[in-house]
Amino acid sequence: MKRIRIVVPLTALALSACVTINIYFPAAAAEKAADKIIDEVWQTQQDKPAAKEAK
Amino acid sequence: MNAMIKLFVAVVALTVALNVFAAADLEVNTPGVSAIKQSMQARHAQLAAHYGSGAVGLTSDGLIALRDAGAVPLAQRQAVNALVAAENNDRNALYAEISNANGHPEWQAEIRSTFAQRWVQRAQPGWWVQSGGAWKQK
Amino acid sequence: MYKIARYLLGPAFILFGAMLPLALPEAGELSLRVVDTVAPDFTARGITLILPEDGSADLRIAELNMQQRSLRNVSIRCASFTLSTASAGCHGGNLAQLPGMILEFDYRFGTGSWQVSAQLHNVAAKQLATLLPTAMPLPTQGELSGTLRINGDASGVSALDADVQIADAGFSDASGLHAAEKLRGTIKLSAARKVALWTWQGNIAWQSGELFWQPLYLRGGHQVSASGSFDGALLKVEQAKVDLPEAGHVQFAALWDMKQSALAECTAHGSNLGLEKLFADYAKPFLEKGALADSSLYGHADVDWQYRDGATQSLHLTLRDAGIADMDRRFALLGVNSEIDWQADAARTANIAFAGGTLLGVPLGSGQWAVQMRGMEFSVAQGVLPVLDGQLELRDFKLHREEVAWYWQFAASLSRISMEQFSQAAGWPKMLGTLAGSIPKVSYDGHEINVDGVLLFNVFDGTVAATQLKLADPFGRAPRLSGNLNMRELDLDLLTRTFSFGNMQGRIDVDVNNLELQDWQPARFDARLSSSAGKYPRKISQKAVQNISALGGAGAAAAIQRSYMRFFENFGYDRIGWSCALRNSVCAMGGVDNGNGGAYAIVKGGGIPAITVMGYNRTVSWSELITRLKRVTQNNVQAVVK
Repeated sequence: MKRIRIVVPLTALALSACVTINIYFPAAAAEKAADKIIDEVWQTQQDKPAAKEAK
Repeated sequence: MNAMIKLFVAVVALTVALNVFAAADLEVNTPGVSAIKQSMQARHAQLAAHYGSGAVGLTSDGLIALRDAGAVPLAQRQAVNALVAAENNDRNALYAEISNANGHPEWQAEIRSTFAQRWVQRAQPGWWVQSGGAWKQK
Repeated sequence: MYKIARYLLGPAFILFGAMLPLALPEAGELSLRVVDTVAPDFTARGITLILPEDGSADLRIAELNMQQRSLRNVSIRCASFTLSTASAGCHGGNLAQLPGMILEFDYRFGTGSWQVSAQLHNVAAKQLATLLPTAMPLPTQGELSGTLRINGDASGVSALDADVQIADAGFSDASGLHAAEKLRGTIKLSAARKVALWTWQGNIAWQSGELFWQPLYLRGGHQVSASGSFDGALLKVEQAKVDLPEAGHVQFAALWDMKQSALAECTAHGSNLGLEKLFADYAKPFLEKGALADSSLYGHADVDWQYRDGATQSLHLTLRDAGIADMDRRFALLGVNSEIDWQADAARTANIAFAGGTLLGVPLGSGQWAVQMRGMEFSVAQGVLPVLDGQLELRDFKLHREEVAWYWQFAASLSRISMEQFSQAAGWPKMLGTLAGSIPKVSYDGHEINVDGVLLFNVFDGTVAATQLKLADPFGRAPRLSGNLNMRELDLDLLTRTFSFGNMQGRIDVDVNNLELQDWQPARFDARLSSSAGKYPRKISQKAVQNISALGGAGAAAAIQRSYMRFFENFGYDRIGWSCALRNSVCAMGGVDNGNGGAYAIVKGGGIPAITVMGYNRTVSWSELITRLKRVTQNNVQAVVK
């Protein structure tokens, strides 16, 4: 039980530490967001399943 | 008991990791982004043929440009010019809107360059893309 | 801009350089070596003149440079060459590079006067490309026929005449933004110089073909004739007449400052011009994307325009059955007749009469407005715009321009308009009642439209007050509207009939505060709907109960009191209440009161038979709620309880 009590503040610390990560540009997320928008604008999403079916 | 605590820590760590991932997601579902996206999607039906013919190419700064006007009949050249200008307006607005919607207007340049890379990488074979100032056909 | 004349003159000068007989005659042939000619505009090296005994001559230039152009092995053959102490002349000359062209030249040693002329017989325009500077659009196809004549003396060119027919010609610059195809027509130009002043006249008749000169795209059928003078700094067009196909004739006189590349002065006049073609072909391409660029003009106009000192001094417009309409016909004003006499520095009044129009599909009637004009300030003290069976009365309309932005403001009141007609015309669900209201002051400062005071309308037998309305970026990509809407004592009977929601009777107050629309989509608001205070009949039909339940989502609500509900068509209620706070596309809902625990009452029962409708979901995605509402009002949900 005692150990768990230590873990909780540690988790809080870890959480607050993680928040600082957001200051940096989320490159992977941006790439994902870009791909999502590109799919919608170029409507490439519909093409993909069609291509799979063709195979 | 010890093993349970380890498991607990692992689960917490995993949740934290997931939280971070979720927090790092970019918000792209604002009405502003949707409006721009819809307008770009509608325009793409007209632009696609010009990407294919090489008249219009994708630039390295996340925009598009009239590359070879000669590939377009005279009567349509101004319309293509207007399409390119309208598309670039939308693209600039999109990059600004995404960075503003996420509360980080200073990310705009990075969002633009991320998009620039993705547009170029995902361009269809036969389309023209700019790399290092020169045009290349994919 | 492009000094074509200078290039054509080049070969003519070369011959009159110092000649040094050098090579020995060979079989009666005389060969002369001419010294290299170097001038700022061109250099010619390795010049030889060969004179066989038959009276002909061969002029060969090993290397000819004209500005950025370089030609090698230029060869001119004269069928007949005459050389005397008085003159030198070449007749029937051929240039190997330009088959089809016959050159003649004549030089008088005594006076120093000379003449070069060329007869063109279907000369391929493409071959001229080698003679022209690369910066200009180069001919790619077609043929030229006609004559060119240039006269000069020791002081330079003194006269120039050209009469050229163009057949199926095309040209293009490297970017393709200045190009033409299948051009057919004639160009006539004659110019003469007296000391430093040139007088000129010309005529271009362009019969067919197409031209793209960014951003203009034009087809044949144009004709220009003009005359004027040029003193090296100012190009004066004394009299010009332009025929624009399907638009009419325009006469103008102008003064063009060559050094500053600017229009110094211009007067233009056009009678009965076709506005539709004139606007679409010559004005629209220059407009940025916007309301005007998506519009069409109609009708005819007489135009008198005076421009001086960098600004329009006066514009006299006579509009005859003119009109303007945007592409989607959301806005149109037609049958406009007016005599507008605008002066830059004097006050004038224009009476503008219009036959009718449309605004968002709603028909507008005829009217006549007196517009006061003082430079770039326009105002209308009072104007009436008939709308359906009522009218919009406009007061204190002011429009003025500061630097590049237009500012405007107005106040208005709307007299009783049948809501039934209005909603049908606007393509909305049929609404009952009348629309009336007052608009205290609306102003636009170039960025935002602001409504000062309370915008008040009477609808559904109640009132709608809009406050703090603000529309940012109204003509931009994503307009943002913010404000508060407060509706009082709306008649539920009229309202539910309009939206085929199942009949309800009673009165409700609706508040939508902190409303924010982005691109006309709700982005946030705090909405609250509740029964109005006071005494009035309160009834709710079985179908309405069903529909309200359906809004709460399938399942839970649908099962409420199913058992006894079917026995009654209508139920009594005490209060209706529902709230939604929209944030991040999620609506946080509440009922009559905050309720306890998860449940909240949307309809609180009262009377006999009473009914209470409870909501259990506290949050719902906005798009889901809209989908449900659409489903309900489209009558897809039938009362299947019976």
